[in-house]
Amino acid sequence: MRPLTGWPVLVYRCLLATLLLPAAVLAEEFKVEARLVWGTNQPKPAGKPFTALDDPSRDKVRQFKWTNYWVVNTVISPVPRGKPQLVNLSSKCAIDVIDLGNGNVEIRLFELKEGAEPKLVKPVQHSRKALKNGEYCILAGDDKKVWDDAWFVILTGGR
Amino acid sequence: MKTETCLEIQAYVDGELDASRRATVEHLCATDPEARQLSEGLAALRSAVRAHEPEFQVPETREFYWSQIQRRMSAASAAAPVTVAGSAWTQWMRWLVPLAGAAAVVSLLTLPSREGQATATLASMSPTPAYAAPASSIIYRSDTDGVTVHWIN
Repeated sequence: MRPLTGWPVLVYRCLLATLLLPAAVLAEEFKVEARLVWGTNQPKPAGKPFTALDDPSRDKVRQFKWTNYWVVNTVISPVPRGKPQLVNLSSKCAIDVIDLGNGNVEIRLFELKEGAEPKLVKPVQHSRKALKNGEYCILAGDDKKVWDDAWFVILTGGR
Repeated sequence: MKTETCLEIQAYVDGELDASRRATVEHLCATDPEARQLSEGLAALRSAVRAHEPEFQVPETREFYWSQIQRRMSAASAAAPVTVAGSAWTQWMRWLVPLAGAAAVVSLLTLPSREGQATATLASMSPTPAYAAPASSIIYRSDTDGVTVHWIN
């Protein structure tokens, strides 16, 4: 069979592009921003590159008692459909986020220890759409080392 | 008027005197206007205080409250001993209740094994190894703020 040449090829390519373009747009990878935040009443430690939590985010944690919220680290985590990717927030904790395909994403928090496999601390599920629209999903807990301080992992997809 | 006399009148008003001393004070009050005035004043003060003294009731402690309930239950059980009816239904219930309890225990014991299966499946799908049971958490959600907080214990 003789291969197609000329205008049929052009039409074929245009048709293919028209069909695949929406799929490509839909398949655009969703990413969430995760920030590791330290809630404390202490001032910023000297020599640390911490930044103060921005006002909109601070408003989300206004129910908590701490006067200072220092952003320790900010990472962007992909939200794949398949294999999740572990993203380190610090030397002690990491997260991975996976699109469950049912409208929800699963966020898993891991504890890291040197020489050991990551240990799952908590898996939570959140609406993908809500995250994308700027809703916040926050994982938090007491700081085990510093009395009366707390850590927060603030996730949002709308920033 | 001497202090001793005033104290005697006060004791008279308070009803602390014997018959002979009471008669002496009554005679004094009848003859001495100052003594009578003091006696009447003290009596008026006494009645005013008695009439208007606020009453405070000590609140019952929780222990006292529960001890009362326990005491009443003990008294009631002692007064009316439990009698078991000898009907056929009661005889059946005697067997059915332990059986239902045993069934509940068995169903509870089978639940963790199912969780284990789910964890194993999840772990096999994940690049991370099998892990211990996740920590418990308290969830706080605000629709107006658009925020969900999972406070991990």
